[in-house]
Amino acid sequence: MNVNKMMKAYLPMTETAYYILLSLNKPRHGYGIVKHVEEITHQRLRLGSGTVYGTLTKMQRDGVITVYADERRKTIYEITPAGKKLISAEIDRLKELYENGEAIKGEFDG
Amino acid sequence: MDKKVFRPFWSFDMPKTETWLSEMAEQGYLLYEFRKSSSTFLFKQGSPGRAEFKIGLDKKKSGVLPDALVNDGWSMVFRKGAWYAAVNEQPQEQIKTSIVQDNIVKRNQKLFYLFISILVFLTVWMFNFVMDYMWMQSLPEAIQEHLRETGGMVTNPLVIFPGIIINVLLISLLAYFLNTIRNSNKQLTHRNSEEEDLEHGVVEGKELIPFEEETRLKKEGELVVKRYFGWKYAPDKLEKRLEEMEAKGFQLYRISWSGISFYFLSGSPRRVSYKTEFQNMPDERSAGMHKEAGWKQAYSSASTFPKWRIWSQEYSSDGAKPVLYSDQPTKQKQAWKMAINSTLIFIPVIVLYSFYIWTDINLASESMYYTITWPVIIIFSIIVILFCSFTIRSWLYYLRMKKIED
Repeated sequence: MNVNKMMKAYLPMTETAYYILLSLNKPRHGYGIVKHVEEITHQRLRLGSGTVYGTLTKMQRDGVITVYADERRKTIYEITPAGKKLISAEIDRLKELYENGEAIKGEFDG
Repeated sequence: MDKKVFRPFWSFDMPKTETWLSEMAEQGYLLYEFRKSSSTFLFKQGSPGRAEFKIGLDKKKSGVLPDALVNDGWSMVFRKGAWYAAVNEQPQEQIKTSIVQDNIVKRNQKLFYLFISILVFLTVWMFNFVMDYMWMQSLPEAIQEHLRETGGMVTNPLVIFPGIIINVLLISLLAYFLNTIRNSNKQLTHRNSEEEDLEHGVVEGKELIPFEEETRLKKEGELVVKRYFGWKYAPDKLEKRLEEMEAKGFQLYRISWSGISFYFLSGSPRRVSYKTEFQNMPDERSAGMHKEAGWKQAYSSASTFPKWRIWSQEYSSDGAKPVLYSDQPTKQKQAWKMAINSTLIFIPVIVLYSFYIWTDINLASESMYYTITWPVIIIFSIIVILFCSFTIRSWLYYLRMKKIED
């Protein structure tokens, strides 16, 4: 899949996809991703192993991530250059949403 | 002098092919190109050296190796369609990474089942043919002549014997392929992951109890057997039942090979989450991920296409109940795959058998001489009703999974 098609298919991103890609700031194995997401969301997001596996498989098929095996023959996931463009676009989108929200928030309080 | 080597069926035993490429490198022939249509490997002559090769299959056909592999000394040798090869000229002990060959295992597994079907077909056909031929030989010459002209039966030995020999050769070749694929896949999956088979259907975490002991426990009421027929068409209901048994203090100990009988040992009540998993094709990588997340395997179906597994995980009273699918879309998609699978398997038979029943009844009502073959009609009707129930229940399961749980 080329980057434009990828953007159409993945944006806006689900929380699951977003946090999985964010975790791939360095290559990780499947369960490592689950543990990392739990950590950075302070236990709020506990991704099911089936969910993670399904999402990773889809992302691998679409060229968002790629895989290799480490010394212990474990599967390690790595983000591709196209995947990096994808997550950066999403972070920018979320930035816009957040900034607009922060500016108006006061009007909705109380 | 560059070399061209024709190596047919190179893809059935990947480790062997990869070792062969390394041996060629040691002799000074480095692989640089590959002709897929003619299964020809092209080598450039150079100085002998150590080189590790790995061949991969990637449907995406996009060019690049992961950064981690490149940093570890791997580089792409060729890419032909979905096939590609990578080489690493560092000493073997220093190479820390490798490519993932799951796709090759899956593709060879599919070929395996294709070859088996062809093998069975050829064997049955040949057996039939030989039987017919021998029967023909026992008939008087005049009748043989008649059959030859009207039935088109071939009896010319010049045609038959070569035909049989070719058939036998084909069967032997297929058997050889099947063996090669089976061994190479065993090697590859052992390389990529570890899967322990559940011995005698005993769930992970429990030990097998000798038969006499089991009988004694059954008598004393310490071992309880429950039979859940057709749970695969409403797996969520099975999950609930298993969890309720655990809450009452009956711990799941063993599941029969058929997947119908569930054996429970009485013990202390536990909070256990049970989740079923349906896969069109068995996937060892996902099983590995579940195990890492703390799931224990309770059941692995004898069937391979599709593969059913039951996973269990104990949790504490202050913890959240573990689930396999934490998001709605994946949960729904899995249920959808299962329902479609049931439909595709059962609908053809339902249609075929219903048509037969209808035709039979029609014939009987129109003709005075034709009577309904009751045994066949009754059996076919039972099958049609059963299969309809399976299909409907599968879709009801999907509809239940579509609802969002609290």
